[in-house]
Amino acid sequence: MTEAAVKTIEMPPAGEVQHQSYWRLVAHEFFKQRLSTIALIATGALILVAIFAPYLANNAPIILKYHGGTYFPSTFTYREFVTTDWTDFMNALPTGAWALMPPVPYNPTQTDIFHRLQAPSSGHIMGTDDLGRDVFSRMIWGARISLSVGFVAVGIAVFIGVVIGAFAGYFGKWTDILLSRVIEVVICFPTFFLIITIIALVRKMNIYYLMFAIGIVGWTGVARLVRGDLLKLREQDFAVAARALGVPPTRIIFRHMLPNALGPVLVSASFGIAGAILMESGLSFLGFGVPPPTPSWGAILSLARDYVYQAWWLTAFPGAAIFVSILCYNLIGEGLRDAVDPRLRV
Amino acid sequence: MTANGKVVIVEGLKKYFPVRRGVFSRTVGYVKAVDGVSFEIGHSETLGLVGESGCGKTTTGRTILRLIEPTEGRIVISGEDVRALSGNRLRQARRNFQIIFQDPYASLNPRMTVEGIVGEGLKVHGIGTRGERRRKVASLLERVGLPADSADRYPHEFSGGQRQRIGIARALALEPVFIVCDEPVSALDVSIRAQIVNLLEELQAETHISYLFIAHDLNLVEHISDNVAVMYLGRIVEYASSDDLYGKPLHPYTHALLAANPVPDPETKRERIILPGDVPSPMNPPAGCHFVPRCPLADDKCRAAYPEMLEAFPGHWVACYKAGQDENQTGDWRPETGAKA
Amino acid sequence: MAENEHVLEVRHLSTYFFTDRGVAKAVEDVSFALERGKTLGLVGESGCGKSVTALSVMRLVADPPGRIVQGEVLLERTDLLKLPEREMRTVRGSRIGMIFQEPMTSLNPVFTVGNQIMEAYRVHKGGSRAEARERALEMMRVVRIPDPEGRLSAYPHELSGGMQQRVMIAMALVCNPTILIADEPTTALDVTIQSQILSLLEDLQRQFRMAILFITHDLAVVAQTAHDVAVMYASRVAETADVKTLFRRPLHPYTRLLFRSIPRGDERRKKLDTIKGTVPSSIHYPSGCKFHPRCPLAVERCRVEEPLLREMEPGHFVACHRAEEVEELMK
Repeated sequence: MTEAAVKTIEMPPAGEVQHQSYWRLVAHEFFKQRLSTIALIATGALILVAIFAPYLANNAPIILKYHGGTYFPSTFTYREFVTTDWTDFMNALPTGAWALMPPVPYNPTQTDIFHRLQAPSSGHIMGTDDLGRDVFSRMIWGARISLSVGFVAVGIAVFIGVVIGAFAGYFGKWTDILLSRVIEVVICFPTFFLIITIIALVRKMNIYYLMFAIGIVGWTGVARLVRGDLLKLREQDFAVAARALGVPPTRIIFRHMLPNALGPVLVSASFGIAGAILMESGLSFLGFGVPPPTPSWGAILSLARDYVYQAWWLTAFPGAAIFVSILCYNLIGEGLRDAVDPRLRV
Repeated sequence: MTANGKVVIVEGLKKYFPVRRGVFSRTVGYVKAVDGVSFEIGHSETLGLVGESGCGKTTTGRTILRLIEPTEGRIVISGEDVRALSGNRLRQARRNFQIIFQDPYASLNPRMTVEGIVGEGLKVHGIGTRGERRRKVASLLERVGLPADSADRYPHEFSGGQRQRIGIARALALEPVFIVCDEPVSALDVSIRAQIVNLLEELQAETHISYLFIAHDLNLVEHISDNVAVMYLGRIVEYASSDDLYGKPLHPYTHALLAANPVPDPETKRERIILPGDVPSPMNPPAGCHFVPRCPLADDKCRAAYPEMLEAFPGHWVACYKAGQDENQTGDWRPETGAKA
Repeated sequence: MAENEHVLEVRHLSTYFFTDRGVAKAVEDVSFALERGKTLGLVGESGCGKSVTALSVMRLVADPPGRIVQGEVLLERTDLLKLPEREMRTVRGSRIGMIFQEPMTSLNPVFTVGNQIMEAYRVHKGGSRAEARERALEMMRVVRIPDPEGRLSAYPHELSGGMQQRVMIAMALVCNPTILIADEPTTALDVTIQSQILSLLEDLQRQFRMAILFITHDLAVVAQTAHDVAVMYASRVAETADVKTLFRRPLHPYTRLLFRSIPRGDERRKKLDTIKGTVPSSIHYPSGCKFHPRCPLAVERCRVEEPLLREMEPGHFVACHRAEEVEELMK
């Protein structure tokens, strides 16, 4: 006889569970996992770095007191300072003037031929690249690129995927047949080459085209997830109840079905961001990504190719950064996956 | 507005599900889940619908409300031909007929608050302002016996019985004249069932709602229903008032069903009529009377053609050539000599 | 009840679940005995601990988070709770058989039913495939499965609910156990099928003189199948007696109210009696008698002191401080 399956004993709900919405329960389960929580904190820190890049790595001061006036050069552009080379300015600061500098006093595009390919030192914590640009500054600004590409691309992908998947799953029959074929066709395209093709067609490459390209090919996974969930959810009693009340279909889809299907979508999104970051790094590495001199981790890696043995810092730091941020997003995704597990459904 | 005083009129209701096989999804046959069901329900009346799995009672309930599209048949609720409606008109008409589900755990959206759930009907039909809706929800919750602060809570904070009350409040919000109760207490504990059943009866006394009460608990159906219809393989085989059906069942299946029904009294040992075979699947019903494979009285006449539904006694209908001929049966009605409809 | 007739004796069994939300005392101080050839009905609503009791007897409670914290389970003088796991495995399936509520999920979907019955046999008795096959066929005939040779190679999903349940019974009985534990075996079945299965169990009991522990929430089924009944509420036994006495003279307020809340055909349209309130959570039981918040007879003593089972008449035990007054006060 097969070993009897031990039944999970259904415990009646304890009286103290108060007003806990689903998301609060998910958060509670998520934070129980130490690794994922650390990853979330690390990612949060990274996001902050990306947001505050102008205040962390800049040759312009944050606050400047000069000739009686107070200025915030890293935030605003001032007419009087439009042509100022801040590095020279700061070197020749008159007495009586006072400035608060960002911790990394270099801007990512300022070149300094005399100090090219310098190993990490007190002056340049991560060394300099072949044009004398400070690597640490480029790393900080590069975070902006990676993260924004990640979020926006995935945002586009999730939006398209959810809408297509939801309509296919809810309406079924012909709508589903049609949309499923569309999904299948897009899946068949080799995404990487599709992206390169899109990029090749573009006159002037910029970061927005990149986000768009990655997003527009990456929605199929989400679409299938959502379609599958909706096919199932549609038959649940509470969905039938909504129809019985006379709730119109769009409201049923967006108000009833999707919130219940979002869990796996979030998980997928998290892994998607990791994938997008990797994709952007890869494209920039190959030269198809953000155009120079925009700093991107992949771009730094690209030029590191020529200096692998002389300048280890050009490979190590961007490589580590890509690795860590992808690892963090993957851990967050895994943590979310466990947290939204249906066994949570009390 | 009702036709000849009846709130619900169902005539010849059929629901066939196509069976598709093969690469090209050819339709090879039909599952005749509901195969010609007719009945009427009056104001403040409860019709009990009983039968075992596969008989089509749940499908009947949902098809009447057009939650499943009927294949054929006429459905009139509160004077309105439900099948003729579509789109927005159908959605509006739904205010008049609602449903209560069996599973208290699956029938409430876990992401919505109780207020959202109960008040949604009001919202989508544009009834009242936000404040008025909130007040209406509060009064509904009170009516079904839930504490006032329930409105801001989520379903998972409630027990099965309480969730069922939420479902009832939701069904009542739009003030329907007819509610389909699809096994509303089967998933609840014994001691909670009585509370819910009492609540449903009170509500009926207050608002004169009509119920279609679908259940497999024969004792419960007898208690709550005015009339009872017994279904077997998609058709009604017997229809009578509750007293008549339980007092003098005429169809052999009804007889077996009642005999199989355990009585909560160890002193009464019911005559065990053990029906051979399994509850059939509506995929391939036999020609002739569907009950033939399991019927102790079946003969060639039964195998030849499906018996008509005839009125054996006033208000007591049965579809059986052998009605009333069970050895244990005391009735003396014979189909050949009895009154025809 | 002669001592040597007790094929299973459970004494003061307690099983707790240690969760991060608190300790759930699922079974508390439960005692009962099974006799050869007789059926004990263990009745109660969901959460009362009846299933956990059965699982505890079989030592199938997941540890963690569950643990049997106290008690003895004597199977013909041997305390099962003290056996090493290896020996316990020889008990399960061969000396005590168990069947469950949902046959569809209790049968392995990737093996044929014949295979599963054979495995149940070979795991304990060894023997060749041919022997096991013969035995399986024999069992299928005993449980009245039509066309056993044909059904041997059927998969669970090809069978109806009633057939699946018969397969489970065959598996449970293939090694001729002295005891059968049936955990809500007919709850998921249609009433005519239930009737078949109950009749089958009755015949098998007569034939093999098996003791049956029949767990259910359905009082009507208990009335028709059990010889003795134990009513459980919130982890404890509230009342126990032979079936006729229990139904004729229930002495625990819970039992009385439960009987009155069941609809009977003869009292149509009368309001059903209800038990106010709900079953308490096993983590936060009320103090004293666990039924007191819902009991119409509760007094101060009930709030403070947990009542123990007392013998009110021969063989009829009730755990209630006011058992003597129940008949008078609750007509």
